[in-house]
Amino acid sequence: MSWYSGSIVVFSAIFVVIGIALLVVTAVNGGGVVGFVLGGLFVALGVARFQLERKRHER
Amino acid sequence: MERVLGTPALFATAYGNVGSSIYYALGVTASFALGLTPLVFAIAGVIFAATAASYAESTVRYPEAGGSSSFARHAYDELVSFGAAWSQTLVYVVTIATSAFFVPHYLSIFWEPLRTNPWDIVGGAVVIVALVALNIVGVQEAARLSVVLAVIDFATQVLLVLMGVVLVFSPQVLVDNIHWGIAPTWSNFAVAIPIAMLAYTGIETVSNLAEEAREPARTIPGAIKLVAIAVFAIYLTLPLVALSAMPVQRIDGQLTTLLGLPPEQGGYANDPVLGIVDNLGLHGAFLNGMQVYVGLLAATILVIATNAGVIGASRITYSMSSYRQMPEIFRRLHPRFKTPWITLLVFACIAPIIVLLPGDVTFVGTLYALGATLSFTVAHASTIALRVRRRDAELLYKSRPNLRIGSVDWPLFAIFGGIATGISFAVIVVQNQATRYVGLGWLLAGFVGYLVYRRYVLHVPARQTVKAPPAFGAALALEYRRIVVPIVPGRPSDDALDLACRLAAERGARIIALTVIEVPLELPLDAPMPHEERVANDELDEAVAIGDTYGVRVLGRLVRGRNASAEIVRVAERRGAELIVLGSPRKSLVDRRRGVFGTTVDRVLRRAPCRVMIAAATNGGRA
Repeated sequence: MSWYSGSIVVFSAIFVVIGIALLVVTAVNGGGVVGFVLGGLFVALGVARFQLERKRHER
Repeated sequence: MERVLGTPALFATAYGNVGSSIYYALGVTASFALGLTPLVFAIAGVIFAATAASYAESTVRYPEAGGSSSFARHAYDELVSFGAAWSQTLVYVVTIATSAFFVPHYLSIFWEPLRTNPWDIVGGAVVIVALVALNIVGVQEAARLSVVLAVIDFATQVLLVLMGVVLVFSPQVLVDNIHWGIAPTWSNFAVAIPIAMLAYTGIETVSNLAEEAREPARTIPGAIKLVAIAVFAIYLTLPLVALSAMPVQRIDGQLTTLLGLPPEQGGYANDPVLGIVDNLGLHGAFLNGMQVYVGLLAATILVIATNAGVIGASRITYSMSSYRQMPEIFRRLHPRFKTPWITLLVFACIAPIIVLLPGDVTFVGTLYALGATLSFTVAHASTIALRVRRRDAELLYKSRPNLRIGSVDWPLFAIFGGIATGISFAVIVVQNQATRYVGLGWLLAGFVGYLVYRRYVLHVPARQTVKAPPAFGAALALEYRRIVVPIVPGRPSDDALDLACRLAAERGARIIALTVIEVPLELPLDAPMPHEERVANDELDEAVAIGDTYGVRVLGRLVRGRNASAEIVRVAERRGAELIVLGSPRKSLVDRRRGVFGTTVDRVLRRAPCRVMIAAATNGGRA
């Protein structure tokens, strides 16, 4: 795995961790559309970027 | 500063610059955007992504220092290039002023008065004077230290985000912070977007370091993408945490947030990241420890960012002088230290201190936005123009998305980015009186000076590209400052490099060791050729090692092309090389009828823009 790919994995993981934290904190605080949307978007962003990099690597 | 830069070093250097901006941009932006600060950073982030895409493509196309001014030179002419370069100079001047101005704010954890005027002005001026003095003396930037600090900086910012999400993040507070059209007003919201671009200071850095990258087509886009991702991770989340910790509230009858209020009113506009730490709900020794840690880290990062601005300002003005956009005095080297001391004094010391003197954060923020948006608009316009005018050129890297109409691949990212940055420029000009007069005055003074210098001193048309002769002032003794040495496996190249190193060691010159991978016509230019790349990289590593033994700086450059001689000539032209040293085996008597040297050497001899020296080794002997 190249330095670039490794960095993408790390950044994707950070996005997912931040997203999950946002979701958990929102749920603990009794919910809220903004928190769930932001958390979901961050998780989706992290997963999507990771998948893109994986596909690029496979090609 | 000469070194082989790969993606990690380019990323770290760029993030060191871009990542430092959050330490001041957050407060300035919040003072305008209030509860919409996270949204404003998201919008500015999308514009930044488009700008990064334009820079990635154009920098790979022309891997040379100068950023938007270099793109404009190739896309349009010298007059447009001057406009971009002069805007960039303003950006560097303001970057130096802003970064230095905020250093004392973060050091106020040790002495409270540093948070406010006049001590922050005094402290900022001291930082600027000290760094310019160090740069005149010629202290080398510690690249490895910058990389380490960039990593620590990013890790700390992620830590703050995670702590903030766990301790204070509240979706309800973020929703309650928003008062559409009232706090902020629509005009303040519009101004906040270009101001938030202050947070993305530093994208030019990768561009300016491009000529020191070994393989720009691979390393530049990678570094820019990583910077964009890292910046998004922080800039989309830290404002959420900050506005949760310091919500919009009514203070003295006005809806505002402590994040955007000056320290005199108990706010954190001058040290917004310390404000986050203070409002995370931490207590006791842990709070004190975090304050000291974040304060010291922020101050260190800001000093490095100031230094990057000092280097950037001196480089861009030196480069402008080399292209006869400014009088030659600005490329005069110090007789002892061999550094451009006059340009350092004027553009990295005196001008930033003048900008610093009012001690007004909003003024420097809007002034930066004015210069940056103009420079970015030129970069986008140049990317579009190059796509249209050189539609048949093979590109090693093409940013996306694009729309194919006829024979042109229209760069949608540049069209969007150009419109957005153009509108942002107009908003800044219309909305801020002081910035309008100072910023437009700067531009007007520059253009008048340029036209007068071109017409009455040089007697050269304003749109014509003219390079200043290499020998000047203290550089007179350095007949060869840049030597290009094409490298191929084998003895002749080793001999050529040996000869070039001896020349360079005598004259204090630097060597660009160049390896060309000739890509067959049936393959795209960026086709994977791992074996050739490995061999070329090994040769370049060896060249750098040989240079080290002579105490000569050798910069490895790997390029791809259809024809080696054409690429050698192109690199020599772009680098402004004074000499090409080629290795060539001598032909036997039978071969001599077809020429003394091989075809590559013959073609370089015919087309080279500079002197060519041939190290022609005998079959078994020395050159």
